[in-house]
Amino acid sequence: MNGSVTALKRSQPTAGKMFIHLVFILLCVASLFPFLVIIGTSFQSENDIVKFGYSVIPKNFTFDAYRVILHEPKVLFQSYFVTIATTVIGSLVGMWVTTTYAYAISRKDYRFRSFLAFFIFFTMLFHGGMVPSYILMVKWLGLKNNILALILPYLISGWFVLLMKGFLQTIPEAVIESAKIDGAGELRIFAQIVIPISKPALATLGLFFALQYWNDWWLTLLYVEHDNLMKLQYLLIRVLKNMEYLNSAEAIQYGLVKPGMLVPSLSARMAMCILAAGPMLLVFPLFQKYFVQGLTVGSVKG
Amino acid sequence: MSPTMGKKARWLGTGTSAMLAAAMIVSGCSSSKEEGSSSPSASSGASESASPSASPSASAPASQPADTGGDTKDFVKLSWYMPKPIDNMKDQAAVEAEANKVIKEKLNAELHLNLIDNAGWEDKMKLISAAGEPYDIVFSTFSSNRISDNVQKGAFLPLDELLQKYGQNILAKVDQRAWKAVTYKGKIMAIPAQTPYAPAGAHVFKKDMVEKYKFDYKSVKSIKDLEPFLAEIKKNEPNMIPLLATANGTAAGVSLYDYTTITPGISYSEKDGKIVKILGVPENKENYKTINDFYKKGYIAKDAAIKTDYLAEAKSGKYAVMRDSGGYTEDGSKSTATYGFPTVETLAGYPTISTNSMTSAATAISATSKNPERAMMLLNEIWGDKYLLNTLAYGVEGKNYTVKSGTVKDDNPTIEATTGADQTWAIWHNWLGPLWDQWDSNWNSTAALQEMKKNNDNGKASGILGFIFNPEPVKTEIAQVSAIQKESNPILTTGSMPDFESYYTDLQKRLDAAGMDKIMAEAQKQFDAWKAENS
Repeated sequence: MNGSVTALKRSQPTAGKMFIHLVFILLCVASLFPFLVIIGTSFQSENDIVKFGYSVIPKNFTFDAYRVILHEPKVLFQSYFVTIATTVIGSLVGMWVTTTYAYAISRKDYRFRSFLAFFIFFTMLFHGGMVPSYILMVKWLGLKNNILALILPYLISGWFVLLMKGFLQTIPEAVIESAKIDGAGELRIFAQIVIPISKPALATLGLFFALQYWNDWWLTLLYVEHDNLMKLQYLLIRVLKNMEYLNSAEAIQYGLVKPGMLVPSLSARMAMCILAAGPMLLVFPLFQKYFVQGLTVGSVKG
Repeated sequence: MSPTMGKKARWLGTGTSAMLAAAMIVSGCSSSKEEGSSSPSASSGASESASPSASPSASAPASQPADTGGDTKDFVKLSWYMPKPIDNMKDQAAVEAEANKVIKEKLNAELHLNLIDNAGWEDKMKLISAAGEPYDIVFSTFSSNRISDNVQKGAFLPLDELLQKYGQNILAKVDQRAWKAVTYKGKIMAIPAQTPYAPAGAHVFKKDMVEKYKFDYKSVKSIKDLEPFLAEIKKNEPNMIPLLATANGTAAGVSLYDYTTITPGISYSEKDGKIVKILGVPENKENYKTINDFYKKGYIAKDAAIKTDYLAEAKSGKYAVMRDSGGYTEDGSKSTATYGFPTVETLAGYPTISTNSMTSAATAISATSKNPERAMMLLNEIWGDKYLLNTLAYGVEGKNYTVKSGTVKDDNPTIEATTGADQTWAIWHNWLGPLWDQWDSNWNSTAALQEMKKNNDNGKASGILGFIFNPEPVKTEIAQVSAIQKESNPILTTGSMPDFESYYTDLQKRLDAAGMDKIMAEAQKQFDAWKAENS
């Protein structure tokens, strides 16, 4: 009944329908436009930006900004590698740690449940702060300039654990009980029943983790001094700082920049934006359907 | 002057390695980063307690100057934290090795530089001192890795005694007035470097325009004198904008040279020794009024208040009158180089030397240092031994610079340092300390350095040298005031308001409502206390 009505409506475009389409087309353009400006500006020369402002179609097409950034592609690729590695490892391990912890405290028949739940909840209310965590990481664990320093601190967070626990608690105890009666051990229950049921929640969690690890630059700032361990986002901050410096009067005085020369900082910013977001832009549409599914199913159920 | 496109592109290719050239510095030595300070020999504690005047140790070579006559028996490693202006300080290992030859021989020590990129410098230093990590020497200024903050936290060591014992070269060379700027509660907390203390302000003119309209630019004494020239440009040059003003920069001569800023909005009047609200100074109002007048007459771009990049605007060559950017040269050579087209300059004035300008580069010894004596000896050596200083500043001969005349041995060569973004060792020279001792080079000629020194010597020091305002008690008021200033400054500097009088008085009222009087009272209180303590 419902289906046939929509089919009927779809076949005859009414003014209302057209209006809705128009609104969405405009919305679509509106959200695409900033991106087009970014792409356009990244091909503009710095002088043109000063003179004419940002534009979608550059007056004088130039690759200067990309030449600047890609001149040392090794560094960029290295940081891509570090970022991807930490994102993948961090997300997988983080999901594992979070899920197992959450599962343990979601089981009502677990003896230390309330203690462990409080234990993780406590970290959400009070945390040690930056200096103690720095001392822990650097002095006690000795992880300065170690890739583990880019992974460990984000592996578990109270918020994610409670989120996951909320979902796992919706699994009826009867399911677990019946599995037990059928002779399954705890590990088997977890691996073959709980994990498959919580796929949507895991997808959501995975997305959160991946975003956190991909966007992180803070850990690099704190714990890394080696240039081959830099994450992409931190590298971009550095490039920006350098370009600011190169456009200062000092840099001209020291002969770093030719007189009257403008280092493409604005256009390079845009170019960097594309290079940094590029992979995510390619990856996102491929995974998006899973994400959407995970998120919606998760919210409907949880 | 104008490079061809090909040249430009090629330069971009090599030059901009600066930006991403990070990875190449990866050198074996950086893995031993912490070792420098965390693994001093066990007996180093002994050297601390041992009387320094007790016999210069036997292991010290005969060449050792008397003033470093401390105990250098035990070999120690010293670490020095510094920001790097740009991320391609190549050849660090080689430069350190060369410098360490001297340091080892004279001090039986080894130096490792921990160069931290600009992006992380501030946060990293805060953490390192908060975590109590051991290190020896650190770069510090009034604004970055702030001296006053560090002193408050107790992160730096008082230097008086060390300077007396091991720092004779330093004491001899630092501008005597500058010690005031680094003295906290009667204790010297850092060593001020030799830097230009009071860079002059200047009006900069586009040379072809000055020649075309035969304008006597040297007659300009105040911004009002600019008017006839600006009017002529406005009338005859439709493609030009007569005067450059942006949200963060206005014409030279607008800021008052006789007033030293204590905290934004509050200044110290050098003339009568009073603390005043800067907007309340009649001269200041007059200057802003003139700018507003220029704006109304169309001498300033309509959208000036939303332009934020002064340098980029100036380089575009659209403006007839600009401001200099740091320092003044009689022939306009500096602004010509900066802006990339021929310019001429005329002096607008010298600001008074303030505490801040004397501490734009300084060196401190960490409270966590295991070998503060040796650290001071090293600094003394750098202030005394030109070869060591210049090795740290320029790098290794043949690799980072070539000698054009003279020899490095007699300490008086003229050298050609590798320039461009390929090589940036020389860029931080003024952070090491004794800038005037730098060899004559294409980076900093001896003549230019002498000129700078002369300017410093002749510069008038502020009457409140050494006074540092502590904003803590009036933090909320300052936050409110600076919010208003953030919004009003672009309008003031570009003169883009329709009714000057009402805007100006209204702004004063708003600032007063935000707590200006309270800040001023606090400044006055602190100033009085400081005065009582220091006279």
